[in-house]
Amino acid sequence: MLRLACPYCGVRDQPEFRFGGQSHITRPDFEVSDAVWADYLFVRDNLKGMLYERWLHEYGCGRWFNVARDTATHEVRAVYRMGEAKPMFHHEQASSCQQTAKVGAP
Amino acid sequence: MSVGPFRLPAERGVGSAIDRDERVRFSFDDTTYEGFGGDTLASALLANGVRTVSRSFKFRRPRGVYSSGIEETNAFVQLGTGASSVLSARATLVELTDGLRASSLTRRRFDVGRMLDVTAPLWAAGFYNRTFIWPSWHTYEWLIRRMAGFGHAPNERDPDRYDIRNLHCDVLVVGSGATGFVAASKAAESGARVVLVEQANELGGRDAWQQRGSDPGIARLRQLPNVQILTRTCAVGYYDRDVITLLESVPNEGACSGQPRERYWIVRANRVVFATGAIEQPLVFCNNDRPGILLAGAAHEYLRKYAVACGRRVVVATNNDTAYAVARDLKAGGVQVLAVADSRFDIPTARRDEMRTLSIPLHEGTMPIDTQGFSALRGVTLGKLSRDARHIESVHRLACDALAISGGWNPTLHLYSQATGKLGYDARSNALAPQSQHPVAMVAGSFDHEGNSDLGPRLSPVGNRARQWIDLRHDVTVADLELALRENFVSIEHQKRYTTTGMAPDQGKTSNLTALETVARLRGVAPSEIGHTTFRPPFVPVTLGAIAGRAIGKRFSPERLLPLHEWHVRQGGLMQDYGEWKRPAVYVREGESRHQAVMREARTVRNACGLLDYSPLGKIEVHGPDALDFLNRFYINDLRTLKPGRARYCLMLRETGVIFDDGTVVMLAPDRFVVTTTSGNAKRVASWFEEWHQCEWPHLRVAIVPVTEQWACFSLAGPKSRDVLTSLDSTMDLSTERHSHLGMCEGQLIGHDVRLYRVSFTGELAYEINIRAGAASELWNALMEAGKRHGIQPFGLDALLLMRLEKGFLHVGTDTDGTTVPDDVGWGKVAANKPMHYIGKRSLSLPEHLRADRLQLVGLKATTDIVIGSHVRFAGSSEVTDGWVTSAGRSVTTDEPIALAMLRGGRHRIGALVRLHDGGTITHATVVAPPFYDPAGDRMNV
Ligand SMILES: [Zn+2]
Repeated sequence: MLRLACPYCGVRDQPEFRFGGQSHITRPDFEVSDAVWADYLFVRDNLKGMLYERWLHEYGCGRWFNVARDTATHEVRAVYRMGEAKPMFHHEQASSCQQTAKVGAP
Repeated sequence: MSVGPFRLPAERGVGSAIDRDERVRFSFDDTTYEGFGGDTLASALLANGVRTVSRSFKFRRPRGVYSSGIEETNAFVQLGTGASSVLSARATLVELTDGLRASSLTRRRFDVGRMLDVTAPLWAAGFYNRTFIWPSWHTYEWLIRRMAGFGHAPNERDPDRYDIRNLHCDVLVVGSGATGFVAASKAAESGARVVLVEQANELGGRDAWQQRGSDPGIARLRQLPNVQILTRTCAVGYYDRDVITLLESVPNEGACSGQPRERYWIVRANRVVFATGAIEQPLVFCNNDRPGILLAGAAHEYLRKYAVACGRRVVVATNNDTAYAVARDLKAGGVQVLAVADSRFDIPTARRDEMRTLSIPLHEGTMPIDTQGFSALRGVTLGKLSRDARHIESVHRLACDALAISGGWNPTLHLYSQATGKLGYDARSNALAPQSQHPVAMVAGSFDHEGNSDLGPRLSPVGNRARQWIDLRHDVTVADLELALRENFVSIEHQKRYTTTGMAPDQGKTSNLTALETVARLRGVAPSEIGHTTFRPPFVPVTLGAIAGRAIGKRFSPERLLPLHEWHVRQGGLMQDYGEWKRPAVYVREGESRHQAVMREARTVRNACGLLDYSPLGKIEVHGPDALDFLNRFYINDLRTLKPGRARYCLMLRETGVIFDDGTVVMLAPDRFVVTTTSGNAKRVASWFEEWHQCEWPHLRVAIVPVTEQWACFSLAGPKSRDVLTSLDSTMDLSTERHSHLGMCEGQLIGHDVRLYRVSFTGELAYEINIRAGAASELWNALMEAGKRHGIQPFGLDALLLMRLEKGFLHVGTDTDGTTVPDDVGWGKVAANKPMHYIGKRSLSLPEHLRADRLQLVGLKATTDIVIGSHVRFAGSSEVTDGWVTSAGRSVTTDEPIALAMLRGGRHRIGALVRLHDGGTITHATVVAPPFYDPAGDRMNV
C-alpha cells in the first residue's frame, strides 16, 4: 500500500486517493490526424522506472496533484502540484522524454 | 479416563506448559479423549497415541503430527460443526479447550482412497494438467476436490465477528525469542513506540520452554507505556511501502462473547525487525511420511512442554548437533532411545562422549533409507553411507514406533523476502540467508544456530524416488521433481509450478530447502546455483472474514435513503436498490400484480397527475464568470444560445466520443448554472468536472458544487399537475406564458424556497420541484393533499421508465453502452453542428464512428411481449446478431408490446420485420421509428 504526501494535506494512506493515470499529457489540437488523436486517447507509457502520474485526494481535500513514482520499487520521488513542471531525475530522463514525444506532447 | 498412554508422569520434571490439575475433554473423529489445560490439540492427540490424524492430498497416505508449530504440514483438522466450523486448522496451533470437537479432513468409513496409493505411479506431477482435459477440467473438478480433502465449508453465515485495526509504530519486532526480546527492549529504552508480536500464546519463543531465556525482563517490558505486545499473532504479509499485516487469533469464548474471533492488523512501521528464528528441516528418504516420523525439535517440545513422548521406542536421525538434546532429554524422561543416526562422519567429540555416557548407540555416517509400517511406524532401515555419501555400504533395521528427524534449521525469511530482501543459499549452514540490506526491514538472530553448521547430507542416495516425499502436504516426491526436469521445467520457479511443491499452506516451510537441494543434485550443480522461489503473502492461511473485517452485509456498501423513505414504505412502496439508493419501484396495492400496479400508476400520470420522489437525481451547481464557457466544453449542445431562466436537455461525452451522461443544464443567471445528472453518475460527473478544471483548465474561473443531497426533488407529472401546483400558496407565476416547457423559475411554495423546472421524462406536462431536503416532507404532503381532488397518486421508477420508453427518450446506461456515440441515438446533427471543441468531439469523426452499419437506436412493435436482451436478426441475415433489445414493456395507452433496440444500421430498417431470439424462443417484431406516443410533444408543451 502506497503512502502519498498530498501537497495540501500531508501524508495519507493510499485508500484516500484515486489514481488518475499518466500526467503531463497534452491535449492535441482539434486538427491533428486520426493517428495522433488515437495516440492521445489510448497510448500511455508502460515503463520500468519513473512514471509521472496524476492522483486525486478523493477522501481528503479533493485536489488533484502529480506524483513521480518508480514503477519498479514504488518509491515516490516527488509530489508536486498541478501546473508545476515535472522534476527530472538523471537516470530516466532520456527514455521518458522519448516516450512522451511520440504522442506529440511539447 | 486417562490423559493418554504417552503422557509422562509429573515426577519426570517435564510438562512446563500444562496444568495437570485441569482436565480437558475433547473429541477427535467422534472418539472422546482427555488432555490437560495448556495442551494443543496435537500434543493431546500424541499423548493419547493417535497416530494417523489426516490423509495426504493426492495418495491418501495416512499422516501423523509432524511438527509443533506453524510449519505443520500433515495435521490439518476441521474444528467444530455448523456455522462456526473451521476447516484446515493446524492441530499444532489449536489450543485445547473443553468440549473441542475436531475431525480429520478426509475421514472415510471405508477408505477407498488407499487405492490411490497403490496406483501412485499414475499420479505424477502434471498428471492433473495432462489427464483431466477432456471434455474439460470442470468435468472432474468436483470429484478431485472431494477426494483431496479440504474439509467442508459451512453453508451457513459465519456467526463470528472479525475486526481490522490499524497500528503505527517506530519499531515492529516480529518474534519474542531471545533476539526479539532484546531488540524490543533496546528500542523501548530509546523511547521508540514498539510493537512486539509473538505467534505463540506466551512470550519467549523457543527459549521459553528450553528455559534459557525465562527472564523477569519480560514482565518489565509489559509495563512500559510505549510497548504494545500482541501474542497469538502471526505476521502474515509484507506489502509495498512497508505495510505489514498481522493475524491475531482471539481466545475463543464463543460467538456471544462480544470479542472478535480474529483481528487483522495493518501496521505501518518505520523499522521492522524480523527475529523470527528458524524452522527445522527434514531428512529425505524412502517412506519418510509415515505417522510417527516427526521433526526432532517438535519431539523435544512435546516432551518438555507437554510431557508427551513421541513414542516408546524412538530413533533419532540427524545431520547436525541440535538433535542430540532431544535424545538426551527423551532418555532422561524414561523413553527408550534406540539409536542416534548422524549422517556426518566428523561428529564432534563432545556429542560422542555424551551419547556414550547415556548408553545411546550412535551411528556415524548413517541415515534412514526406508521405513516400515502403514498407519503407524513400525521400523526404520538405517543405511551406512559411503564417505562420499553417494552409496550405502550396509543396512540394518530397528523396530521403533517413532523417528525424530533433524535436517538442520532454515531461518524464517518469508516476510523478509516479501519485503524484497534478497536471499541466497549459504553453503555453511546449508540454508537460506539474507544477502542484502533493506532500508526498513532487518533480520536479526544467529542463524548458524549453535551446532547448525557443517551439516551432514539431508538426502538419501538410494531408494525408490517416488516414495521420497519433499512436500508432504502436496504429495510431491523426488520423482516428481525429476519428471519435471525431464520435461524441461528446469528453473526452480517452473519446478514449483509444475509439481506444486512448496505451494498452498506449506509455503515452503518444510519443503523449500530439500526441493532446492534435490533439484541441485539431479542437475549436478551446487545448490547456490539453483536460486530459490519467491515467497509470497500470506505466510500462513488467513481467514477471508478477517480481511473483510466488519465491511460485510449492510456495512459492505452504504445505503442511501430518500428524505421520504418512511413515507414510501408506509404506502407500500417496493423499495429497490438503484446504486446505493433505495427507491420506490412501484406502490403495489392489495390484490394487484406488480405489472397491474405499474400500469395503474402510469395511466394516472397520463390522465391526471402523479408524484415521484426524484431526489437522487444528480445536481451540480456551477458558478463563476467562466461557468458558461466551462460547461460548453462538456456538452454536445451549444449552450451559448441558452437564456437565463431556461433549461436544456444535454448529452455529455467521454473524450473517446462515447456517451457518458445526460441531464438538463439550467441557467439560473449568466454566471450561475445547475446541471442535473443521472442518479448513478452524480458523483462521477462532479468529479469529472473537477478533474478537467483542476488539471486542464485551471485558468477558468468556476466553482463546482455538488448539491444532490441538499435538494430533494419531486417530479409532479400529468395534465393536472399545473392545477395541483397553482392551488398551493406560491409566489410564482406558473402560467404557460411565463413558465413554458423547459422554463425555470425560482420562488416560494408554501413558504419554502423552491426551484421549478418544466422538464418532462414522462412526456406529460411536468414539473421538477427542487426544495431543501429538510422541507421535503412538508411539501410532499401538501402536494398529495392538494392533488386529491385530481386523483393524484405516487408513482415509482417502473412507471417512469415505462412512460419514457413510450416516449422514446434515451436512458443512458440502459439503451447505451460503452460504444454508443451521439449519432447512434439520433443526436448526430446536434453534435456535429456545434462549432467549438468540446470533450469527445474530435473522436466523432474517427472512421469507426462513421460506419454505416453501426448500432442505431430504433423502436420495435410486436404482438407478443418483448424480452430485454433478446437478439435481433434481420430477414436473410448471415450475421450471428444484428443487435439487441435494450428496453421493453407494454404501451401505457395501447397495451401493445413495445421496445427500444440497438440495431445494425437500424435507421434504414424502419418497417422491416425482424426475428427476436430469446434463448431458444423466436418471436417477431416490426422496426419502427420512436416515439410510440405523442410524437409532436404536444402534451409536454402546454
Ligand atoms: Zn489533500
